[in-house]
This record gives sequence, structure tokens and C-alpha cells, in this order.
Amino acid sequence: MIQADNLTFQYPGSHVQAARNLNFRIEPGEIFGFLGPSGAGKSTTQKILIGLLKGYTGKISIMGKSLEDWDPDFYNHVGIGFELPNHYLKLTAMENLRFFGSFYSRKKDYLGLLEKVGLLQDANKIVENFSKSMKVRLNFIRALLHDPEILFLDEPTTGLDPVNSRKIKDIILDQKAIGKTIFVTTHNMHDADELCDRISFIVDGELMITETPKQLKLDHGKHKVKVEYADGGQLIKVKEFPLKDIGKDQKFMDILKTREVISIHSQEASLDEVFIKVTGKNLL
Amino acid sequence: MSIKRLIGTVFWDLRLQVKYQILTVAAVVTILYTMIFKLLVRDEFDEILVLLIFTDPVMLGFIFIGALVLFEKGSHTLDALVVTPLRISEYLFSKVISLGLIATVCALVIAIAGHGLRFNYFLFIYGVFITSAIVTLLGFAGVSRMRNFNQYFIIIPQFLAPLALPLLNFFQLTDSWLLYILPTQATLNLLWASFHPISTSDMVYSLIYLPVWLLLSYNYAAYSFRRHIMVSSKL
Repeated sequence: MIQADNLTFQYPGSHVQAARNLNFRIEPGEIFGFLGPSGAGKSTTQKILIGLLKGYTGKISIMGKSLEDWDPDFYNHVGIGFELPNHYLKLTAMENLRFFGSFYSRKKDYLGLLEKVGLLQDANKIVENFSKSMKVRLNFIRALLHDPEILFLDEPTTGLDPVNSRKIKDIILDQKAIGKTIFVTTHNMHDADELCDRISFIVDGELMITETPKQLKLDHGKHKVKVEYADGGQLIKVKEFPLKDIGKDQKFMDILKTREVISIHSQEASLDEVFIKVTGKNLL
Repeated sequence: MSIKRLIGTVFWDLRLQVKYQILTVAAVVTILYTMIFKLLVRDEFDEILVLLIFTDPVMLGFIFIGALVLFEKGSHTLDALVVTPLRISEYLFSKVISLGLIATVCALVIAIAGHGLRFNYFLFIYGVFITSAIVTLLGFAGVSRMRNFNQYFIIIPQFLAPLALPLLNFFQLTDSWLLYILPTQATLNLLWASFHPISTSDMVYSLIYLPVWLLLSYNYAAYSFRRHIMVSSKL
């Protein structure tokens, strides 16, 4: 669906390449995450992919067509969710949706979208009076309103409380379920872990690794399981066992059979830990 | 370009201009101009009438487009617009048409109040609308690289002072052909021609030269859009 080959970009007047020889391929129906700290090249890459930055070298193909060959009809097929809210503040939420919806020929369900993110009751309120969370949610549904095949979402849950963050993530997963291809840039590892089929770590304009979150966590974690159990009375003990041949580990089996087990956790790494290990940098 | 999309965008631009009080300001200025003319100018004095009409679409159009684009920049809506199927041409034409309509209606009100109903409407509307379009496009090019009103106010005289120079010819303080290079020489010719006859050469020059400047201004505005709006778009 999206393919970048040897993508390199340097801002005019800058001595540093903002994107360096990037290669990735995003399959239809996949959620692909671009993870990195601020200034790593996430937004630059996204700006190139959505046709805002020209002057790159390398090849980009979107929906089987070179990006250079697309005209503005390209935007009928892609929806872009910005991190910063960008609405006409003097218009209502509904007016904002209808204004942006007027550029597209596909039928839109404004009320349905507003309802999905809990803004139905606020449809006719002026956006100027919205909270940040409400503006972010309105931003998000604007990306969906023309039912595009590809979604580019920049930090989709920033500024949202857990409940609304959950709503947005569920909608993203629903979009994937109906076959949409989704490109997410974020520095939120929990979102990436939960949403993405594959992720790329980007630092200083370079892709360090591309893999499924599960595989990354397994590759960089300890192949052990940690057991917490009560050893008579109130005393809680913790022991680690190698995962290899764990069913034959007599001590482990004894604990399971004879003790009150409180918790069992495999010792895979968190994505934050993997990121630091792979890139040598912190995400923030 | 999609005509349907353009019409829709003009409708929304007019709606935004109502919300941002642009129409209110235009109406107040028109009423003020009309009152000034009626109270101060007792006899038919078309030179002053032309001066008022000239300054209305020229001066206000430049300020209006600046305000509209800075509002859009402030709320980052331009960033959102450049990633829709809306073409640069549709965006610019929509601004030109919506502000041109306001300028034309305001100018007609002042003209009818000052001169009565008997004048050449074609030459008048041709002059006012195309001049408003040129000023809107030049104003867009100017404001596209500005971040706030303070910066914009600094460049207003740089654009408007040269455009006002043909008034020297109009009030016969000079008789310089150099001022014919400026589009507003043609504007003043056409406004005067709406009320009184002018020479054929002046008429031909004005009718042809104004659209030439419209084309140049459009290209400059479209270039500025690509150079300053698209590249600086924030994700």
C-alpha cells in the first residue's frame, strides 16, 4: 500500500539530512508505527508521504502509484490526523465537519462520527469553547470523514484522558478491521504496542529496526518467567525460571502444585526498554 | 478545478467572513464613506467619489485578506486545508470571489449614493472586481510569509503606497506615463470612465492591462502558497 525505497530528505539550508535512506513497506490493512523522540524525523517522513514536502530523493509508491504522479485527488484516498488541533474556531463542530466534508464527494456520516468520539451533544457548539480533548477528538474524526483507504495519524491520543484515549484506539482498531491501512507516528510506546502490527524505530533520520512489537519484546527480553507465590502465612516469595523446558523444571512444577501462586509473568522487555537498548536514546 | 467545490468554498468563505465580522466592517465603512460624501460634497464631484471607491476595494481588500489568512494561520486551518482535495486555484479563487463580491457591492452602494443610478455598470464592476482580485492576491502573497498582524501591518504600506501613486495622475498633479505601469492607473481610468467618457487609447489600455496584472498577481499568489504555506505546514 505504501512503499519507500532509499528515501532521503534534507531541508533547504540545513546541513543535516532529516530522513536518511529510509526503506519500508506497509501492507494493506496493516497498522504501521513510526516511533522516535521529537526531531527524529517522524513528522518529516509523514510530510513527505502525504505530499507536503518535495525535493526528496528515492522512491515512494502509494496505492501502487508513484507519489509524484498523484494530483490533489490523492487526498480523497488518505485521511490525515494532526497532533495539533486545527479547526475554524468561530464555527461549530458540525460546521467544521461540513466545511471540510464539502471537499469530498463521498457520502459522510457527520453525526455518526461525532457520536463515536462522544461529541454528539456538542455538535452545534462553537469550537472556540471546546476543551483540548474535544478539539483533539474532532481532529481525529475529520481524518475519517471521507472514509479514506489510508490513515496517517500523528500522536492520535496526545492530550486525551484514558477513557477518550480508549475510544480513539478502538476506532483505529475498527478501521484496521475493515481493511484500512494506518500509519501512526508516536512516541507513546503503550499505544504502539497495543495498536501496531509492526513498528519502526527512527532516530536522527535513520530507521534502526522494523519488527512486530511482540518479536521486539521477545528478542530483547529475558527468556524467563517470574513467579510470585505465598510460602506459608503472609510471606511472599519471588523466583525466576528459564522458559526453556519449563514443564520439566521440578522446582517450578512444585510451586505450582503446592504453593498459592500470586502471579506469573514472562520476562519480555517493554517497548521502552527495547527502544533504549536498540537506539541508545530515550524516547522523550 | 471543480466548479462545485469552488462554489461550496465561496459559500463557506462568505460564512467565515460574516463570523469574523469582515462583512460588518465593510458595511460600516461603506455607510461612513457614503455619509462623508453626502455631507461634505454638496455638488456632483465625481473625482472625490472615484477616490472613495478606489480606496475602499483597494485598501480594505488588502486588510481583509490579511486578516482572513492570519486567522487561518493562527488556528492552523491552512495546514488542514492543504491536505484536502481543494486545489490552490480553488482556494485563491474563492478568496478572490468572496472578497470581490463584498468590494463590488460596497462600491456600487457608494457610487449609487453619490452619483445616482445613471453610469456604466459594466466598466464600473469590471474595474472594481478585477482591482479587488489583484489586491486580494497581492495581499495573500504578502501575508503568506507573515506570522502575525504586526508583521503584516509593516508590509501594508510597501504594497499599497505604490498602488496609490496613480492618484497623482488622476488629480492631475503629474502626467507621467510611468504610472501606467501600475494596475491602479487602469482602475482609476475605468472608474472615471463609468461616469464620464475617456479616450479610446486609455479605455483599451485599461480593459487589457488590468487582466494582465490579474494573471501576474495570481501566479505570484500561487507561488507564495506553495513556497510559504505548504512547506511550513505543521503536523
